Amino acid sequence: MIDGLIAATIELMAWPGPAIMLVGVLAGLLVGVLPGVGGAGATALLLPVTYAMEPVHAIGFLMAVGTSSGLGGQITSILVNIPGDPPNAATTLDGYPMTRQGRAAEALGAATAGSVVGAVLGVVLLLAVLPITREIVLAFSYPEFFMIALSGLVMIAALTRGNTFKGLLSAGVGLLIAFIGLDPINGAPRFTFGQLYLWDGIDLTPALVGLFAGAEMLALYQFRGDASIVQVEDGARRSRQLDGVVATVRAWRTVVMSSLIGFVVGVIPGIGGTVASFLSYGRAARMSDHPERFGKGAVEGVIASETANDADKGGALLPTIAFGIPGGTMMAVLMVGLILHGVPVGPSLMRGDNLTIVYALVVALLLPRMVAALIVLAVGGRAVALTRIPGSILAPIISVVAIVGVYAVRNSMLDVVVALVFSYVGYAMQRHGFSRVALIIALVLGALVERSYHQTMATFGPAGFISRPIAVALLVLILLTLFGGPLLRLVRRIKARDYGGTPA
Amino acid sequence: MRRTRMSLALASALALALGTQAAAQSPAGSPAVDGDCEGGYPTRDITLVVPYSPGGGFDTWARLIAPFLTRHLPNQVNVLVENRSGAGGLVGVTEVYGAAADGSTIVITEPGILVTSAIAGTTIIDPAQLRAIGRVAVSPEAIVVAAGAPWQDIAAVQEHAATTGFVRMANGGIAAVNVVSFDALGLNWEGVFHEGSSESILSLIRGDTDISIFTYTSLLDNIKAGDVRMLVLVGTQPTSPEQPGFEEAQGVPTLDEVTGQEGLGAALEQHRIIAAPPGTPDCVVDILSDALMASLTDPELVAQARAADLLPVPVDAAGTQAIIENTVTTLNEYADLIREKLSE
Repeated sequence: MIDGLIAATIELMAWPGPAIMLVGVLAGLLVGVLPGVGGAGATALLLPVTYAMEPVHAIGFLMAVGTSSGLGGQITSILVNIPGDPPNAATTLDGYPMTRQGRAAEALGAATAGSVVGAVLGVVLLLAVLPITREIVLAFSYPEFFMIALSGLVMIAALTRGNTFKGLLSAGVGLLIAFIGLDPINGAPRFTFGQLYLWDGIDLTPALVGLFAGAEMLALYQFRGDASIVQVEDGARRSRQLDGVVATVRAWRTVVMSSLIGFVVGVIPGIGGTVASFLSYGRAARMSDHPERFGKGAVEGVIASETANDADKGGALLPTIAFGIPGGTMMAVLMVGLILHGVPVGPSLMRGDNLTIVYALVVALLLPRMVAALIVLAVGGRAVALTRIPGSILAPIISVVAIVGVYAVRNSMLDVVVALVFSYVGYAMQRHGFSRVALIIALVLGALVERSYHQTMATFGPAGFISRPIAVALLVLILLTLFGGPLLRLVRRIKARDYGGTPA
Repeated sequence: MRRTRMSLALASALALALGTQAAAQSPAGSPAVDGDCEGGYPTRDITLVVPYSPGGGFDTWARLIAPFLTRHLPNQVNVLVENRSGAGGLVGVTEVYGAAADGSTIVITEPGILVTSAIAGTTIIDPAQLRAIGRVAVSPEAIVVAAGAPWQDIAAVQEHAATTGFVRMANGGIAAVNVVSFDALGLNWEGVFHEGSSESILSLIRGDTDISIFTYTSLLDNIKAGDVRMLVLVGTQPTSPEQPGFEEAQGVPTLDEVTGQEGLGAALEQHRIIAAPPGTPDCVVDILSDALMASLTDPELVAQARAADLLPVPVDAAGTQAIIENTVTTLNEYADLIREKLSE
């Protein structure tokens, strides 16, 4: 295996490999910084560029574009509350509050360190399970999908503590929006009001850009036209990116957990980084000693999100290698690229000569992101200056960039309308204390919960939820999340009484 | 950008004029339209709309063809590919359907989806009114089971369904191709909806569902890999060894053979066609069609296509119009069945 990896690295680094990958990394960072078109969309757009390349360089280029966009996206998520790519959305939740507290550099450092560790652990996990890829992919079916989605919804309870009623209301609205589109039984249009646009449901990108960036720009412009994003200036000492890196090392439990979550979610075709980052964020908040800090600038939140959405890409490679079935949009484009280059995808990849391609995929999965991380660390410190620009200048510029970005994804003016509507919705929610996170989590997971429920009922029946080991294990975790705390307290009290002690 | 929009507005005004003219001249629903191309069509860029996102089969074909259309069109005007995805392809086609009928906007699509949507009442498009420019390629649909499934042929599946009452079909929604072909095979089925063919195939391999049907070319890699077994080809057998999947299809019966219904498969297989808005004048259609036929037989295009495992199977404008009409007639015979399945 080591020999194979080294051989693949040498092939990838053969001239003009490094130059091609560097261009890919820069392109990925750029589309990541711009809201709207993300890594997956950019790989599709740049696919024709690779036609003239050697297959191994095409892999390097496409992987560079697709994987480094997340590192670009984290910059705008943290500095100006714009998720450059949907998988970065969970990063805004604590990254942006940190920026307002003057801790932008720390957040950037943590996000970059988290991404790097997530990328490495994702690849390590991938290599570890390489011999049993097929078994791993086949182990997850509808009941497991359902439980994973449900465990995400349960996170809403942890994230809206103290304001449960408004949190549930927000989640309900999120679910309502998620149910717009094709129904999960026949695939017939539902709640579309005769509008073709609504067939595919409300797209996540315009909703996210509106809810987070749009709402923030409205607030910034309306209230404090001459004020900048940073509210508190720490006079004593400015935060440094190194602080974030140190924080990531300290939060190693979160990092490991988030990598695992990201990897497993990545294995499942059809869901990807966005689900992974929110699940991991929720889990981190749940496991934290100080859950109340989440959403108010907890560095663990940034780490959890960015680690998961990078580890996810290791998992997403599994179904591609095992069955020629893409684990996500980016992998789908990559597969088209490989096929156009005459490289067979699917099980035959694991045999004979083609093993080189597998190792090239693995190396290309990791290498560009290391370069991207160095670039982000180098420019991150300077980019922080952006947050000290007065709102009256910053808000209009960001708004225009965001709107153009939303339009560019599908050349759709209606996407822009959706983003604008969600801007005002997000602004109103923020002012009146409704949880935007709850709405987004419900919107991200709603369709998956519903579809996997129907799929389970149609194939396994109700027994499917409780007869499969992985599904049951996930169910137990969900129940523990919901009732574990109170149960533990109850047990302690009973024990204390039994031993005649005084209740704690 | 602004120029495009202004010219679009201008074009729609022109289309309105042409449209009323068209309506006056051909009231019987026949799409043939007289018109003059004295201005020397084409004089400006042509937009080829792909109603799906980048990276898919239609997109690949469109991007492959566009530069060759430019080469073979009079005046060598640019042909620009534009992705307008949404609603399973209906968004892009609907836009072109209502666009200027002056040959400035054309679309790559397939009649089957449009006719199914028309029957289901989910589109305003009347597929027979589209002006066909030509067919680009064709792929049969393949009925597949998992390689590990006990059924070696479709008769075994029919036997199984007779005892259990139904088979579980992994599908991407109710479409004419699954409703009609399974009805013709006498197979009672219950659908399990998936987001796409990838998820459906995984479900087959896991053994959670029994059977599935998707286009042969999209399943070819999984068939070659030995993950799924093809039982029936809905459509025509690949006839030349140059066609992708020629070898794998040998000895697989077609739907027509199994059911004895001649011509059923031809109405169900996937024809990739290029079409212009209703009311496009004949002379414009002719110019576009000639350029398309010249492109599809251009040795350079054929070589590029083969590198991507694609094979052009061109049919001219009149032949393509006949394909659309055959699809409309055949599928409408099953209209009640399709609506019934959709409302289940």
